[in-house]
Amino acid sequence: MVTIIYLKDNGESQVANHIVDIARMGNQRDSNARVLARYIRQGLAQLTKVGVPSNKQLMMTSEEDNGDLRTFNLLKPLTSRYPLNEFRINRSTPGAFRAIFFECDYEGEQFIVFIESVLKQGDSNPPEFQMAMRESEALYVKIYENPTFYLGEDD
Amino acid sequence: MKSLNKQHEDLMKLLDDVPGVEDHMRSFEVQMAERILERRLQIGLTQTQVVDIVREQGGSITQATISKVECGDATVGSDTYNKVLKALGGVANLSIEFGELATNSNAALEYKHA
Repeated sequence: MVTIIYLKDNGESQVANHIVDIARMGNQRDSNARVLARYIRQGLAQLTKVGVPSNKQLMMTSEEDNGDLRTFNLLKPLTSRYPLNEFRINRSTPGAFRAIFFECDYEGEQFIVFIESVLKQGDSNPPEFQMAMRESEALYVKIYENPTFYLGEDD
Repeated sequence: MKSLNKQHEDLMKLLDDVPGVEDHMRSFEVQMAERILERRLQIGLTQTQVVDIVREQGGSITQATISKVECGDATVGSDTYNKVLKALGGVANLSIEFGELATNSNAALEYKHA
């Protein structure tokens, strides 16, 4: 088991807020949000259980009831932004939930730290995702410089 | 660290409250997906290596099918589960914990016994 953290920057956790929004839309009868909520929940449960495997591969593909492709790529290294990774829940329609994270060991425990997420619709590399990658990289540096501040939270 | 864990747990509970999520997470195929993925990684196999083991055991399966199993695909049949589970060491014990009866099941029981 690993510990999942939704990084707070300036008191706000963007990824946690994003998931809360998806849950709220699902509760308001948005059918796409309901399906996405199921898959995010499933993907996070799997990631929590197995953590980051040594071969850095956690990909699985299936089909939705209507035959559309569904892909869980729970660990996709962002090669140009090492050591950042993506947690991707891809659906043919309406798109993909992409959350940027990194993995680290702190005091003998594995942490997965989510930094930013976007909902990708259409463009495979939207400007908002590029911005999220840049911001995530900057936050990673801040955490690396002061891990206790971000990871050493007490009860 | 407890507050960090609590944030994740609270978020998972919030998702569970979305209609359909809890049923999805409790479905047979999703629970099997979780257990099979965990077991495969625990013994350090890739999906392709599981394919090879199934073949060595006289069966036939594709990597795409194993991917479907680990994704919780509802169309996966018992024959496929048997092949994958055998390749991963076989099932020594299968324990099922039942949940509460659904409200409509209680109503049906009351009607039957009335």
